Amino acid sequence: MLKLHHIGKSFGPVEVLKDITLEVKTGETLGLVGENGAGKSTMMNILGGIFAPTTGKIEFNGQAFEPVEVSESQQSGIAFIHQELNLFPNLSIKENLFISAFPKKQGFFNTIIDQKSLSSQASALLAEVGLSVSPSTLIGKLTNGQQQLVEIAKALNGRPKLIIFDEPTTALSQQETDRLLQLINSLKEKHISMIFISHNLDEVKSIADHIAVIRDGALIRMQEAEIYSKKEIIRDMVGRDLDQFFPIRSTHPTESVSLEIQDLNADGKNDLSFSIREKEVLGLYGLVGAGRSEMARGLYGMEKLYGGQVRWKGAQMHKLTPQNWIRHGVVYLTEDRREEGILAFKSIRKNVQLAALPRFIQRFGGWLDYRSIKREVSSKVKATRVKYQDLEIQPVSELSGGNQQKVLLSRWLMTNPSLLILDEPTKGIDIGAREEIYQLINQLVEQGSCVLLISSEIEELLGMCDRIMVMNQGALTAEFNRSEFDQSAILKHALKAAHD
Amino acid sequence: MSRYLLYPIWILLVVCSCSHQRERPLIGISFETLQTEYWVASVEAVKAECIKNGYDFVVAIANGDANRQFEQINNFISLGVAGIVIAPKDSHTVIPIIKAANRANIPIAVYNRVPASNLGDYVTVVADNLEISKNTVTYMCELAEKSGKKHQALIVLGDLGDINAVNRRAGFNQAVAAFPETIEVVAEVPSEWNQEKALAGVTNALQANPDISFIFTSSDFLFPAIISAMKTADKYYPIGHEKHVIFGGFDGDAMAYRLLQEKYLDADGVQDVFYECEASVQAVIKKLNGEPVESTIIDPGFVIHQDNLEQMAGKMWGASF
Amino acid sequence: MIKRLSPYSTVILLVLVMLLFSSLSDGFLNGRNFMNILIQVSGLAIVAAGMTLVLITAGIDLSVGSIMFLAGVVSGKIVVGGAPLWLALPIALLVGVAVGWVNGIAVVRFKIVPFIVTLATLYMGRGFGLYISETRAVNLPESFLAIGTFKLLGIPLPIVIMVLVLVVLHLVLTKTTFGRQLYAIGNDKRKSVKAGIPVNKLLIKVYLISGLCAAIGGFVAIAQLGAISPSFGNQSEFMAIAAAVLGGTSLFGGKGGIFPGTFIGALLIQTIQNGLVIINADPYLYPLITASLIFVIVLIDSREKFGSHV
Repeated sequence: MLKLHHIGKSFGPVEVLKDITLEVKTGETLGLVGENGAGKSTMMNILGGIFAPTTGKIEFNGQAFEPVEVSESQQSGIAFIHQELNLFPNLSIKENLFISAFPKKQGFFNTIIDQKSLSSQASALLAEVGLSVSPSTLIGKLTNGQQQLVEIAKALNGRPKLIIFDEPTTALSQQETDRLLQLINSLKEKHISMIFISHNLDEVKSIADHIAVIRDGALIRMQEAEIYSKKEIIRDMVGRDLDQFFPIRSTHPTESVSLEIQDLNADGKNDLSFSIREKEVLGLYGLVGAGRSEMARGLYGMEKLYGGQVRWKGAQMHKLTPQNWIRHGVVYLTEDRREEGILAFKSIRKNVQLAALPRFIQRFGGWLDYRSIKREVSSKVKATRVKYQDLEIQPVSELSGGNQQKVLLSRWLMTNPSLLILDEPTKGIDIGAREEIYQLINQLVEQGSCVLLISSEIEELLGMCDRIMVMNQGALTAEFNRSEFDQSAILKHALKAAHD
Repeated sequence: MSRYLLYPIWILLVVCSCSHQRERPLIGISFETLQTEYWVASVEAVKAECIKNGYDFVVAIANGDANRQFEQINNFISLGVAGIVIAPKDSHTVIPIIKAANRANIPIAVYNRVPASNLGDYVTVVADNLEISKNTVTYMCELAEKSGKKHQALIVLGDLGDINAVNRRAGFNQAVAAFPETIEVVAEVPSEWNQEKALAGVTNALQANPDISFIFTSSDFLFPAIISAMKTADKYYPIGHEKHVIFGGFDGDAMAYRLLQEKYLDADGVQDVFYECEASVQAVIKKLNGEPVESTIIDPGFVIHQDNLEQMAGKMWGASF
Repeated sequence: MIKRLSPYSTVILLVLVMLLFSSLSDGFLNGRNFMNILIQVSGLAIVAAGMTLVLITAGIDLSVGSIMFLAGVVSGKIVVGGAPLWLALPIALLVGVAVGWVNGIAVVRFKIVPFIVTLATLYMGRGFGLYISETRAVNLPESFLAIGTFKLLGIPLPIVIMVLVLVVLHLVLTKTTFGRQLYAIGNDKRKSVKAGIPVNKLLIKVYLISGLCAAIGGFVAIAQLGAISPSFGNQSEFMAIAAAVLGGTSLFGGKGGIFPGTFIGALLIQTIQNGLVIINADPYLYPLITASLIFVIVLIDSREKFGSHV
């Protein structure tokens, strides 16, 4: 179906893809993995007609394939499902499916949309992806998973021969992800070839026939998924063994309580009480929608609180506002990068320095000490291993999603926080960088800070935390100390009511 | 931004005027707007008076923006004008302008609006809006009384943020109060000096009160809209016709003159633009020559009506358009 | 609460206002007065309908008031100068389309923010119109007024024109590809380009339509006034935007419509103006009521925008 012969791509002197040769057969699924910046996106952009390769040839469906435009690639039967969906929440499902080419009625210069045919065609597509909602429903009313299915239905409308999924599960809950993987399996039976890009190796392994690993623009290995072990994949991606994936901290939590929360009510229903001790990493586990982020946002003053008492280092906190928390050294890295106020068109340095500027005001004259700022920014950026070309010139928008996340993390690290609230800090971040983020967390904790780690990845919590709390439908349902960690028990508490 | 664009132009102007070695002194004329004929006639009259007395002039129009007017006056000052005639945006924003002129020791005459406080040194030339509209409406009321019938009256108001509009309304009210037997005011239509609002308002009022037979407008420029509404309500007939509505206005513009000639309009309060403009320029000149000037010059205006139309037309600014 | 009522909250508001006025005066609730309101609203409703399309694309057209004025002055001057009356309408429409075209091109080709572009054409249009008219009122011949009072099958012509324009634009918005794609553009321009929507072409068309509607609306108003004063159309853009937003169209784009939407919004504004005169309200009350109306508009719009996130 798709063959790449010795594909290479250079931007000026920089070689981003080196001599890649691989094949996807009809009805076969290729899992494509690699760290951020390894060259996956460049490869996909070549297939999508956004760049032309510098060397090599592509063969698609038995013919030479040299797309120069996005539409050309679409017409020859390649569809893309991106992490960021191209749907309009203010329009209905059926309108979204046919937004660029509505079926028309005869007469009136063929300008009037044929609603009947629109609905029936839309229903047929929705049935194909197994989404049983009315095609007149507004997209904005659907869950992320349902929207993902609509996006796939839209792709299927073009009768594609190859579908490329780029991180499709990042925004989905576990159930939604399972459903999506099922759908992909059913597409296989329709002899559609697929390329599946993901950081989640379990997903890739469960869905792909072959797995290809790319590192630094070169194809490292391509092998049947069944015989390619997770450990080998990781080694190939990172280029070394990651035996100790979760690094061990040299310190233990002390007895002194840093943050104490009593009867915090963020949803109008449940009162939550817990505390975090100095040098402690507290994990908060729960399904998407269990109320974890809502609790954190309420605590941080970003959303309405219905009640509760908060003590920080023994003193009552009266005004729960972000400004006030930052002044006390409590910072919150939210899940949503855009909301975090990334200055997309400003340089990396300007993004990183932002929150810590007050620290660099010189005592005499009130000027900013730019020399120290630059020194510290570059050390922080190195610590978080942001992949960049130029701190001063390169705008953050040019970085990959994972690197943008690292820039934000660097920004908060610049403030030397005493408590760091991390909401899904490693989502969409590659494995090598994850390890570094874990090490950074440990460093901070060893220096005396504490961390509230919110995550949907149970392994991450098991590996990193001193204590794990489980949240279920807005309530805290269980708490485990490190010695009593038990994956299945934690899962049971997180899922309990949903099954009752 | 336009502010910054203007600076080079002003600098250029200053340079030109310096290199020119001006022989005749310069008078700065600043007008709030040129959006009605009244203002156009005024600015022409001021220019004419300047020329007559051997002065050059520069004109700046602020297009309803008080800030811009303030900047324009500052530009005049740096241009080195000998005197200023200003028709200000409103009675409050003119005060800092007067202060600026005083600081630069340039005499200033304020045309058509009375400053809100009497601080500073200036001459204000203003029509007695209250008196003129009172006289006009009184004349209309006398006509009504002569008819021997009771009349329902309508007044079209101006922008109630404008002191002239407020005074004209007060004049109207004082006049009709003297004729309680004859006149009953049933509708006050605010127009905010906007034709469409006047049209809708008068139409609605005539609809609600079909017996209205007495209409006064606070400004002549609203005539087309009012007439349109009167036609719809079948009320637009010349004097002498049984359905004629006693009809009066204020300003003395070209349309008022025509309506008087065609015998649709009974009376119009006229501001003596020629007198006011002459007085403004004269006040500035007298100050320059060190002669004493009264700080307030009142234009008594006059009422023009069917009986004095011929003899007064020469003084009516609208008649010359 | 407001969010759920949204498309009909204005209708309810309108009914409340009408009940209030009819309880205060007998002259309010009758067929003739209602006809009056419809005639008076026709100009505003037409301009606001064009504005609705622009707002849906997350744009704004501040130049409509100036287009009304300029189109009126140009066609009026030509008729006063002796050209036949029938020529007035096509010339007015041509002026509207021309200014709309300038707006569209500047927004699309030169990538200038619509607010700035149309602010510039607002001043340009007004200035050019004042220049042509020499700041004097253009008094139109009697025959012009006849257009405004003409009746078609017993229905006044302004109402007929309004219904025609509004129905056509309503169908365009709800039933055609063009209309549906406008909502997509208003939601996200970048996504729309990706989805294969000819965004630039559509945006130019939208500003053309808005210019055209402004010219038609201006023409309808002038045919009733019989003269064009130099302040004609001043601030009409705000009334048009107010009517659209009151009717549920969002300033943030992607949302809104003409029926009931903008039509009811315009009707509400005009009904209040009408009712206040009918009950002979204190003239100082008018700005207060306008102010509270603007407050309601902003409240509705921000509720909808930010309400959807919570």
